[in-house]
Amino acid sequence: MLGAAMLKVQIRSKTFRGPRGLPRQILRDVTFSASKGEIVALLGPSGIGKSTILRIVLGLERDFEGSVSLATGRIGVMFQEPRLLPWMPVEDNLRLVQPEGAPPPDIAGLLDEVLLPSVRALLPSALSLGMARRVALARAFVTDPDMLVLDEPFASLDPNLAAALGGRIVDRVRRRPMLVLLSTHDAAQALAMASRLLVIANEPATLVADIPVPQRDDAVAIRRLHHDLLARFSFLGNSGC
Amino acid sequence: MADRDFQDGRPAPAPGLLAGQAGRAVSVFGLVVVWWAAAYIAASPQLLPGPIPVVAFAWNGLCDGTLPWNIAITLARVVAAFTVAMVAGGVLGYMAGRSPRVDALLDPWAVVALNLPVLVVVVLVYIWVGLNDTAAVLAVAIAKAPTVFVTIREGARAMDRDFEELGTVFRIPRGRRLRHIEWPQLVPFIAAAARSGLSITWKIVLVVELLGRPNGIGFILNLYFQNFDVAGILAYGLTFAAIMLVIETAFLQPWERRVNAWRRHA
Repeated sequence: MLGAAMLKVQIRSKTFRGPRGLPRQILRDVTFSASKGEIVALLGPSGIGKSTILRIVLGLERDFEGSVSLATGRIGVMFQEPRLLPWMPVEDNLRLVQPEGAPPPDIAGLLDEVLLPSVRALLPSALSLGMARRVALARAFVTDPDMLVLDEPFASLDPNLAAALGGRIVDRVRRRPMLVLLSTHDAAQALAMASRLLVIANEPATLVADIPVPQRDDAVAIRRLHHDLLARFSFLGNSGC
Repeated sequence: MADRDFQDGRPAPAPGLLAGQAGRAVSVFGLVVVWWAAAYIAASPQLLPGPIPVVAFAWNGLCDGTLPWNIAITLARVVAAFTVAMVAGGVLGYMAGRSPRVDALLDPWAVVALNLPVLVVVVLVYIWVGLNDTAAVLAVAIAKAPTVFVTIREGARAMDRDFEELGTVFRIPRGRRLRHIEWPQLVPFIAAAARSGLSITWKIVLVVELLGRPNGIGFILNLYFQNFDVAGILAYGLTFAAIMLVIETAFLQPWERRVNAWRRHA
């Protein structure tokens, strides 16, 4: 059940300066709100500005025109790169983000959840990129977040593993309502997880569609939406689905 | 989160470490042979005594207590000045590396301090503070702190922004961030500042003692210089250099290896 909006985003414009100092607008008119219990997928081609939207939401980019309003609560984040501290083992990387005063995280349970049961004592250098990204996902769970932000969460994983992990995230949201905001360029992946799609396209990037996703057990409706998306947005055609 | 070693509680020895130590032993032995040969050729015990008279001189100093007493005094000054320089230079360097505003304020001071001859600093501090131990320690610390400042500032500037963002979005408390995210990135710079700092500090301490203290290795060297006693100069100078070498190889280098152990696995 959805409550009042937890997140309200209104980005009128975001401009970067190029190497010669020339301004280049990359985002224009991206406005949406989202509530706890929703899994919102920002869907668009690589390099369009999805990560920048997430960075604006997280407060890491402050130089933009517009506003972001976020209800207080705990945040869990998985960046596109794992960002594991290379000098500490996996379990300490997880403990590092434990909120102050919170009980110690269940390291074994969290690693089981991302299907990596036996890596807790390893240094990040001993992990493959895919494994490191799964540890980063487990770290995002440590805070028991009210909002989970995932930037291309399954980019370097095989489709079966990606589907399994997507299922774990959906289960988590069912057990404990939270807002999940994820970015992906893969329409099939977005449809497998999200309750809502925000399609980002054009240059400068703008929000071109806000589409509710049918119930997951309605396979026919999901397939039809997938076909509609591929027909409407040509850039989704090469997402391998 | 405890600091960790990653192989049986100890950092694994670097490949070829034993071979390296054997090479060093051969090198030191070669130095002694060259010294002995030079003394033999010079044939002037007053100008260049051989190793045996110098060791005998040091042994006498050890037995009558003058050598350990003066070494202890100089060591105390080195430790005090080194600590003040590392703490002051380190803290200010960290702040300058993290904040362009602080850097703008401190950078001109650092440039001036780096280019001021040590002798000028020592003489001025002795004049302003007086011929005492506080002035001696202060002068050495002022002379050394700017290089620590510059090294640590570079370390603070080189810290990974990705990890900083990690701390921000997960709202990791300041103390935990400092200890687990920033400190490990600063350690190589702190180790570099400490190693170069120690070797420079003790040499400056000798100058300070020579100019204005009534004890310590620098004072003794000056005394033996007045008497043209080369055996005494070599006995005290080499003994103190050996002690500083032991401190560096027995404490600083193993510490540096331990805190950087993870890099060998990266």
